[in-house]
Amino acid sequence: MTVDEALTRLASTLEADFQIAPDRITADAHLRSDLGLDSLALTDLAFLVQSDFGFESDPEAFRGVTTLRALAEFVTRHAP
Amino acid sequence: MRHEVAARRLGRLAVVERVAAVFDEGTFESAGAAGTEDDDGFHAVVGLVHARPVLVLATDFRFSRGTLSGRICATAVRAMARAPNMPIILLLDSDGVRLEDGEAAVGGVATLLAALADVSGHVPTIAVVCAIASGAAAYAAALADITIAVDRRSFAFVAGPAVVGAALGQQPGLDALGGTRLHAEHSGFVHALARDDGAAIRAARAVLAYLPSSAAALPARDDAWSAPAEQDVAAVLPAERTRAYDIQHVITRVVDQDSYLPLGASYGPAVQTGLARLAGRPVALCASQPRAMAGAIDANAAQKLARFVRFAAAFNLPVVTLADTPGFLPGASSERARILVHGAKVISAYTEARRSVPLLAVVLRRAVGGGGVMALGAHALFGLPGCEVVGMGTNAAQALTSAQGEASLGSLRGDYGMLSIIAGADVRRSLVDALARAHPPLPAPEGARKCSLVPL
Repeated sequence: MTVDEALTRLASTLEADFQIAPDRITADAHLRSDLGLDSLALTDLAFLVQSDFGFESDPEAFRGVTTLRALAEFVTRHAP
Repeated sequence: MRHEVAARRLGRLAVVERVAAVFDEGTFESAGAAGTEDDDGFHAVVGLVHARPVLVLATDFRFSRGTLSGRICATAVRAMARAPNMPIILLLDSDGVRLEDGEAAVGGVATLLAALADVSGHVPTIAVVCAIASGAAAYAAALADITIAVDRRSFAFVAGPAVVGAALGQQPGLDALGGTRLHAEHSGFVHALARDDGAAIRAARAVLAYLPSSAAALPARDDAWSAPAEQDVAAVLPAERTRAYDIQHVITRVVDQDSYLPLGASYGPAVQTGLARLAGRPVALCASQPRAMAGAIDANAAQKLARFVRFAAAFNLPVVTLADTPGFLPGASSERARILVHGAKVISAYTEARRSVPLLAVVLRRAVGGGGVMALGAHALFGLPGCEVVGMGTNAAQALTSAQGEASLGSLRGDYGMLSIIAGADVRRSLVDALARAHPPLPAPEGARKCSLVPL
């Protein structure tokens, strides 16, 4: 899976599951400050990402993931 | 704002669904109907659980992040006052005090927490941490007898990441600050984990099935019980005396089939505690776990054990102890962890419990020091051939060594009762018979409690 493919799927998740307007969802959007995700929402996102992409990771591993692009890169590194 | 679609995908229910899931089907009335109150998303509802009335207090994160206003707290306290002899289930999803409500909220929370402390030991209280329990909401759970949490997706803390960051300059993640593994394994705040809201609420219902409605009542017997197919405990004990094993294999051969409900398994794992049944009768089971530190009772295990035995006595549960322990954990680290203080709680708990509930004990291999405390106060004390029991302290030091199947009792008759040597295949039968012959638990007078269960 490429980063772009991961970005597309993650954007879909953010729109459908977190009701974030599509025009706010950009690759370089900051998950907290631009997309308005608080700590619990980020935790929920981490679980959904793992479920959707088929991998497991320690919650602490997501702490350095601050943008959508960084999340996509994280996914491509960990997803099978 | 909580992201509801994402939450639903993760098994997080709406608050009305959570409340409905607690009650027996058809006994729950929707919010706003007679018998319910909902205020700012808060629900105080009475319904039936296992055909007995139970009060549910539930916060709704959609309304001001589930925070507790003065009005919500007053509603909760009123509901508790109108349901004096009912178990209470807290469904918590709350950021704590509603700061914008000012003094009213602070005062209200203080009154609510005092009310929860007041019912401690009077009626069973079970807290379910559904997502967030922060500040006052976390303390409401801490005052409950049993806390159940959704594994890895619920969090409890004095203050959340934003406050910790602002006040202390720390940036912990939710998990590190108040995750379920932290609380299940290190703080002991959480007693059971569930995969989602529905499972957590089912677990709360399951716990209630073992408990009476109040300290003035006796737990109900379940007539639909089955004995375990395999009952020989000796068959699962290692031939080598010092070899570790999993006490779970013993438990399943002693208690009714599928009746063991562990509580606090990961905290102080050298002692396992949980609810179980013997011939349908609910009991509080305390068992050494030899595969954890050889069953040596460390500070956490001692705290857990003491609190559990007090809980059992408060709610009229006979205490069944399966002892296989070298006693309290010695050493400098253990001393720093206050093993003396926490060990004293164990002694006190068993001593107090003995006054009002049957204490039954089986020494599987050894009960030394603190393990002796667990066993020696029993009304009915059994031991397997070859077991070793050594009492507490120099003045009370009495050695029981069974050799060739016979026990040398020394001067342990009278105050401590007889140690009966039994075969491994007779452990369950002996306990069932002893329970049937034992004096029934002495409940508290109506409207009263034997003791507060504040977690000391």
